[in-house]
Amino acid sequence: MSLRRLKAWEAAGLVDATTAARIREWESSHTSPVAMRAVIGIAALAIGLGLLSVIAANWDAVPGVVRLGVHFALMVALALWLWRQASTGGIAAEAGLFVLGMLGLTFFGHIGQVYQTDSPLWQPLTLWLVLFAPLMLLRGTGWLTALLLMAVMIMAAWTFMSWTMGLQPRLGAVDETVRIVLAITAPVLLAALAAWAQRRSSRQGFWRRLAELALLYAAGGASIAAIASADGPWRTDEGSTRLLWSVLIASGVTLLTALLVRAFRRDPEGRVVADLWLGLAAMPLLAYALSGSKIVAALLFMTLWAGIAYTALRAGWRGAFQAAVGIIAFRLVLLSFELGGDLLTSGAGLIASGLLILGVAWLALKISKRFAPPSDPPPASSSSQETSP
Amino acid sequence: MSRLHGALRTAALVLPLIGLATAWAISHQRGERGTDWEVPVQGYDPRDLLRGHYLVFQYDWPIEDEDAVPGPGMMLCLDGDAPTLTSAEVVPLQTRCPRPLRAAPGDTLLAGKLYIPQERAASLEKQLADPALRGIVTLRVRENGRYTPMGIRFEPRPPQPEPSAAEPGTASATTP
Repeated sequence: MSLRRLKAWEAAGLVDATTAARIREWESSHTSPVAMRAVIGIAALAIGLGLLSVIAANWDAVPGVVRLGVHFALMVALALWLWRQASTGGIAAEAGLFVLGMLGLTFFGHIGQVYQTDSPLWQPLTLWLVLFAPLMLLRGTGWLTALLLMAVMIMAAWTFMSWTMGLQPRLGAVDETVRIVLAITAPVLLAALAAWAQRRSSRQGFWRRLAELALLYAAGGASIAAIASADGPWRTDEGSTRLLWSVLIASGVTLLTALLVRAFRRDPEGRVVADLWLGLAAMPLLAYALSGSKIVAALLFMTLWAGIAYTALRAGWRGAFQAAVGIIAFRLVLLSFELGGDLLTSGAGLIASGLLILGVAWLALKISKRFAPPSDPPPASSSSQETSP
Repeated sequence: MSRLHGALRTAALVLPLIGLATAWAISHQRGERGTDWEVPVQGYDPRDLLRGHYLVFQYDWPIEDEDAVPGPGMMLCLDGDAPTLTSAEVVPLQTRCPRPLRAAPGDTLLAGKLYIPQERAASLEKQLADPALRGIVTLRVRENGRYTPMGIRFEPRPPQPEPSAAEPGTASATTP
């Protein structure tokens, strides 16, 4: 802390002389050698970068088995270190777990390089999930591991989709759709697992983050369904059977998640979240039934985010509420351009649309300031707000 | 309960190590096994031979039937005295033959890629694009017909009856 401030406060009579003297004394005995630490940090960084570049320059000269051996030994050492950590862990343990997961992920690519093997990306990702998901679920304590687990699961699902669709000879149409949609909606079920574990585990932060990420993923999927419903109607589409199957499976998996969240979480916030999951489950069905109109699609989208805003309001998530209001406002502005495309071709139209944007932005700001829940999250997690839907 | 939990947490740390070690061992064993065949190749496209660290090429299978293409749903039956490949026959996927060669699901027999060290990249690319040279890729083929490209070497291209075959434009013209 700067002691100049203290002098100013003392002069203004905010702090009396004895307190100021005590503060000075405490500060002088608790100073941390910032400059020294910076020098050590820079030196460590330089050494690390130097080591990295030496290794990188000679990478191809090292036999493949040796490289893989070093890579594997690193993972073993890290696992040993994690094993010796206290059960609750901490930031260091969380970071170590994340690094172990990343080392495992890159190990597959490394094997591919050394032995010239080549497999579709979803296969190593799925194997990683089998090997590492139990580790993350049993030891993760924060958002780093939650994010890693969720990201790998989503990537595995989406790369599986692109691989299946490029497969020759192709699977039967419905068979293919069922597999793809099941894979893509599976990450949503992590929310149910999180709801079950949240009451039983001491690692609240991890489960909370995992539930939030699953909810964010499902909200993204529901938004895509709402946006896609502008084209259609899906009933008369040439792939209508496959679309219907997709919609039914997506709704079914989300509904299952909603019911499980409701069953596992008995607290007020849990009930609110379960309601939102129910709404998300209805979204694909609504999109299917109402598809074919631009305006209805936009209304569907805004209803979805209004629902999310309402949930945020009830659950007291300030950042999520403000984000949802912002997204609705943005969609409203886009809608105005879609409906009156010729607004931009005349001077008066431009002025009108500019005023409209200003109006919507003003209203959105007003609403999010006036009605947003207070910024302090009630219990638990020392969280940031923008990730708390 | 807590003892069980502790055991699970330890097991969760061991599982990935065992799994990855197994994956490594399987890849290692597969890499050692199999018959090596030498297959002539040509550059995939003069502008894009290298993708990242991968050298990309098209196989030049010695197929006698000129209309047969080893595309999706097809496989090859190799003939010759390994590693010298004298001819290859295009047959449907489930055919039985003494020396089969099949692409992995989603992969193709028409083209392949090889991971190469950074400092050899430029010279390999130049050689692959050189009309006077012919690339020969060594494929290690396992009993079930799955294969792994092991390496590439170059030799002078044998004289061709058609004069146009050695022109660089041909490679891109035949790219599918």
